[in-house]
Amino acid sequence: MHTFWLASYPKSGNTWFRIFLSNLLYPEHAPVDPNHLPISNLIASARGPFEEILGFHSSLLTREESARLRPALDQIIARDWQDEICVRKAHDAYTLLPNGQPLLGEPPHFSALYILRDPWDVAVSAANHWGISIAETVDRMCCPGQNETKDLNATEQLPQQLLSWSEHVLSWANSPLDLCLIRYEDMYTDALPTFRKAVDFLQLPYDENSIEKAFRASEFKNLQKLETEAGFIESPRAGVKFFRKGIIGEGLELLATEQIEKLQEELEVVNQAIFNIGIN
Amino acid sequence: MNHQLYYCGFKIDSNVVFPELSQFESKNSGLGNIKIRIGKVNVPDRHKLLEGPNWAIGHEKSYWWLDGVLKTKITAEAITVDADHQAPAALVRALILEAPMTIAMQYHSAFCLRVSAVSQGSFVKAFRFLPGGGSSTAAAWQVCFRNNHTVSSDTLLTITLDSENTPIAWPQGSGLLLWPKSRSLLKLNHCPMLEVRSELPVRRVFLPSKNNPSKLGRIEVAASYRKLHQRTQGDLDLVTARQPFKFVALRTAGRLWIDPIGKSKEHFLWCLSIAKTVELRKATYADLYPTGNFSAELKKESHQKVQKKSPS
Repeated sequence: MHTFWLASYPKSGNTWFRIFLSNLLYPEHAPVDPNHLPISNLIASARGPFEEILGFHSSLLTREESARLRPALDQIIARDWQDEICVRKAHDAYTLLPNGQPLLGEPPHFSALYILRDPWDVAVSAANHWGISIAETVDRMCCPGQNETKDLNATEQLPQQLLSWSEHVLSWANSPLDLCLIRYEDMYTDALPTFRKAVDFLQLPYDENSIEKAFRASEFKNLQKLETEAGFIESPRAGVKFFRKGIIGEGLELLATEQIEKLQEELEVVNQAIFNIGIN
Repeated sequence: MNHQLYYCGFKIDSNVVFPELSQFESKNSGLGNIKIRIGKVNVPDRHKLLEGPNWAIGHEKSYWWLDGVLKTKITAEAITVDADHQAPAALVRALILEAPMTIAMQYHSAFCLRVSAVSQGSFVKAFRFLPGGGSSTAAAWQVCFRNNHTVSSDTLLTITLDSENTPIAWPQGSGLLLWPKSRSLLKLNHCPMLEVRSELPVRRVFLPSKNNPSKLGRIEVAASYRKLHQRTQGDLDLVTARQPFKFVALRTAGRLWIDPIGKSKEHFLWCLSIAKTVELRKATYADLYPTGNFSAELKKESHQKVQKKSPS
């Protein structure tokens, strides 16, 4: 089966989109429980299928060795996929392995829907999620070649290479994959055309009415309410909300001027490149 | 020179030295004998076998490999190991003790759950969090801070059924794989331990171990030790849906190999017996970390403050 990566830098609306997609594909379950999505929750970097399919403890390998095995694993997962459509979350940047093979597949078997969010809002949300300061988060987002550093402990996911925020976007934009880019801000301010564009890219035969219903069932205030009542499996730590605010422009109020300027430079690089490449 | 070792209830006759197993004093090898031999392995035409990305499985013999590290040929009697001369020896040994041993044990109709487990007197309790979720740490904590708890297994818990279909858990004997953060929180940095490989900070830590089989009493599940309080997908769905059979079937180590090996019926009955007799429940902080500094450290970690704005 063809794999669509639902790709984004962390905290850019990936989970929100998957909840929308669940409500679209399974209207009989709408509004879906985010803790029990009817579509697969399988992230590209999950340890579970790695250990189950390959047959050994993933902690025995270095990050480079585990990365080398992931393309073969993704092929097996696509081959055995049971759902109507294979959409998998990915936070890794689109990078090449030492042998030149892409970590995240090649056309025609893989394509990508990329969600882009203003970096200052990503910074606020990611700082909360990662449990580090905004200053440290901004440094991480602006550091070329930045990797997640998790070498002192195993986590539920294999190590992911994020690169800097702009490198992350451009790695996908410059990839050979068929790519559709949507902006988080448009998912709010111009919701239906934006979700329509994504649904068309995923080649799903749904009309405006179905898309609007799925969008309404996925409204952020509902997700916050559900998280308050029952918690959310993807929240990073006890007492830390995953569906925090989801608003646009919070970062411009909370970040220091020089932090905004650093991220503005990153955004300009991205916008210019997207314009040059001609991505809509 | 051959070495007599004990692993997951099997006697291992090996011409590979396994320091990982040398601290294990069990002489109980009631499940059978498996030889480990160095030899040339060529993975043949795989069309008569069920193929995976790094394995080819058949009724009487199978192959499992990791490119650039090792190739193995596996039968009920023996595992033949053809290791790359540049591969780290400890990595080769660690891998032999995982997939090839799992396949060899399946030829003997011995199945394993992928859990960490401790023995508490007369029964064994197992922890199953998501991979990387801290089940090894949970097991280590029990041994360090609770009376009469010993290590039973880390990655593989072999379970057999006695004459009354009671599930019996066999000790693994290869220590616990712990990362620096866990070793530090549990103050285990002076315990006997082995490097798994020089490039990685994970260590195989040896704590007091169970050396006899005993009844499997309980399996505790959670997404991870950090999320014990929360609802989660996957394992807990299976608990709340009262589907312990499905849990056992899906968490069987090497479950993809059972059909092509020809042990589906035995595995089905094995799952059924465990599901009928073993308590499966959601893990909580109170069960796992009732007292001690580690509990405080976990809570501290859970409530880290986020600095909203830099001082600049």
